[in-house]
Amino acid sequence: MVRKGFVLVLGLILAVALYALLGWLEPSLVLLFNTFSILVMVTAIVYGELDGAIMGTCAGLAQDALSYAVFGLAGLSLTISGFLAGWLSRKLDVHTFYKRTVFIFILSLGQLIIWAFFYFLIFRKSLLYSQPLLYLQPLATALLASVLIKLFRKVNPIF
Amino acid sequence: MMSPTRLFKNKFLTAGLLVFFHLLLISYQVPLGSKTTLLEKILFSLMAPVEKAVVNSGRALAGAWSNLKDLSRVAEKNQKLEKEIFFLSQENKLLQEKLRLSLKQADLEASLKQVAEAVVPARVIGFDTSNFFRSLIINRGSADGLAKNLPVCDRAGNLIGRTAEPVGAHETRVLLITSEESGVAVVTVGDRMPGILSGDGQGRCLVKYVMSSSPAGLEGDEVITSGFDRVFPPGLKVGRIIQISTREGIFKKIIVKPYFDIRELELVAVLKNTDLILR
Repeated sequence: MVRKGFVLVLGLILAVALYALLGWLEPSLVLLFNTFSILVMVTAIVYGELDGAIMGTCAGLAQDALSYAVFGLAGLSLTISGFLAGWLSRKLDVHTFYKRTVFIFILSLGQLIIWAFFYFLIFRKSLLYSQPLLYLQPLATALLASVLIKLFRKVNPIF
Repeated sequence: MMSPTRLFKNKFLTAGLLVFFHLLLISYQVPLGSKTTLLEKILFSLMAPVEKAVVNSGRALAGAWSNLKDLSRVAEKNQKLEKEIFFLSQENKLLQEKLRLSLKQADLEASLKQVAEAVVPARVIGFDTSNFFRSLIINRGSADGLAKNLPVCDRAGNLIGRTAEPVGAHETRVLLITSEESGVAVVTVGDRMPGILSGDGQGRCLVKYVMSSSPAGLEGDEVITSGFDRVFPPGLKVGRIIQISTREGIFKKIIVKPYFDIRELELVAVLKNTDLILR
């Protein structure tokens, strides 16, 4: 339990650091690589729906704090996708790399749609037109999260 | 009454509560518009130092590598010169403005003496990651005398935006002129066409409320601040008109390409005392 907590907190710190670093190196990179989304997907599939949802909340608040937007916007979409990723991964067979990547891609796309929908409701404009790199985000998330899960399972075979 | 342990074990209920918490959080903030909530202020104060630490570490690493490559002395000298150029260009910009307003020599000298105190140099420590044309974070705050609505320029003296909430002790948000939430009173240099400049959220700006029937404004015209909004001093360079369209409604659609380049923003200048320039 303590080890799990340590791993998750470390993951969140790493995600924040990488997100800030990517934004500094090249601002458009954060549109392509959403480290928080990757972290939530990995947490949900490795540890389950509850941890996925809680991580979604924490990571979402951190992302909102870094984007200086409305708090809860990223948290909402990440919590929902984190819970669904954990819950559905227990019901479906997502053990192979290919299946897992497709599964995460669909959930990341869902997460992006929820986020874009609420962004549009609040700001009355769509980022999907002005930031085309966002379309590639689910693909990047799916590939990176899937690779990370594979690596994680190699290190910890019990998952 | 359900115990907290049992509540936690009911995964659907917990997830539902978390979603409800976010919805509550969003609905609490949205009616407030641009007003900053206490929660935002707390999270800003918590996250800004983390971002600052990461960016500073990145800069330190990049700096160390560069020093190693270029033999440390060259890099150091370059940094010193850059800083000097930065101050000189700001000073020069303000000096030009003063000359344009035809102030007496004595007034000019007295004003110039205050310029050094009126300009606060700052480093960019983060960008708005949801839309990097909206805002950025600088490493100066209320402890350095900064407050809301102070003009911010790049190293060449071109306007990039104004300080906005939240203003932390050592960090401040800068609302860029390329943001849709921004509004700057501007005029063109040639025919003095007035207008309100706002961002399009995609790296360009639009001059609004210029009648289609107005003959003023040409492609290639330079746009500068007019000072009518009492936020930005007159004469700050903003950008150049790149396109004018009269087909859409009663107002012209005037697109301005700002002079500043977001990818080159590292050092910026906050004009702390605009009264000095507006006077």
